[in-house]
Amino acid sequence: MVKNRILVLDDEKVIQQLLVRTFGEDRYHVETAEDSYLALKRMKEEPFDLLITDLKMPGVSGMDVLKEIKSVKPHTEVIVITGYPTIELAVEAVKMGAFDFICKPFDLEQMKTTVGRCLEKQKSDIGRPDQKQDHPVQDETIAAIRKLASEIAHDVNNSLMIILGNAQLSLMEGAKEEDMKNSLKNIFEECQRAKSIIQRQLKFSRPGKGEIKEEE
Amino acid sequence: MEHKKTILMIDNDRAFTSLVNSFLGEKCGYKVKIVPDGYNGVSMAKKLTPGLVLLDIRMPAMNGLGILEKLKSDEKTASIPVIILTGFDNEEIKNRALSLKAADYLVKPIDLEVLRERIAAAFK
Repeated sequence: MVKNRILVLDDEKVIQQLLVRTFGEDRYHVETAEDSYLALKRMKEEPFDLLITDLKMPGVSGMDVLKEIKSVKPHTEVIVITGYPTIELAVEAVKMGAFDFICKPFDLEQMKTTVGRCLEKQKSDIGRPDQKQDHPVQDETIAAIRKLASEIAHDVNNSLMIILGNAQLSLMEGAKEEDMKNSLKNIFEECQRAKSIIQRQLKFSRPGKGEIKEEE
Repeated sequence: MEHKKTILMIDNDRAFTSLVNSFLGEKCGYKVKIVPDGYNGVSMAKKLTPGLVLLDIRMPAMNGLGILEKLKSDEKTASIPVIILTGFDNEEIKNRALSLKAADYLVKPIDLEVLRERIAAAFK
């Protein structure tokens, strides 16, 4: 059986080793590179099916490697990982042709599923005409990222309203000690709620696209 | 008239309704009635004909835009000013709300004094 070839580009040895352990013993051939020059050189010398790359690296960034490899080897799939996620970066990566954008610390099961989906898609794309002008998967991913950003902003705005409003109430002239204690209690509880919102979002839930979701 | 100073708040976030009740009720002298869902909110608006409705967007069963549409299409409630107060800072939702004749679209977090001013303006 021909093994899928994966190149892991990350200047962190720990991440390299983790991904080699996860994919190396399976049906994959995994190589690592700790800098972008080396990664680009390897990919130009020999074909790889998939590049898993960090974004932030000394010298040439992961985003530049993504751009370069998509222009010279457009069929190489790319999964971007980063410890400093922003919506702009995620959208840019997907626009540049990345299959997916994963935040560190990532869940290994999630990574396995993503790699599996990515290589499946690549297999089904083989033989099709070049789809450079038409990116339904990317469009869907960008829509999902935008939706996620809007959801996070909505939940955080709601929490901030409670926190700021209660702080403002307790600072108003004539506020009684009991009211102030009550406001502090509300602020405390809201901070706990905000904390759980962030934890839930970090699990990278992906709500459906489209209309306003009803609350459960 | 008594109901002119009444605000009907349709919102299911208890921490927020409690905050607004403390502020608009105790500090600003409005009578605040809170209903946590759209169906009861619409029927309460018809029954109460408040001076103003303060409406959230995301709620169970019926979202705020659906509620706004119902309020504006019923002659009993059509003239009541409706202020949307939501965590969604989203142009598309805002434009939809304004085209459905919302009096104002406010995004949380909002300064309570600004909220007081916008409510006073909508009452006029």
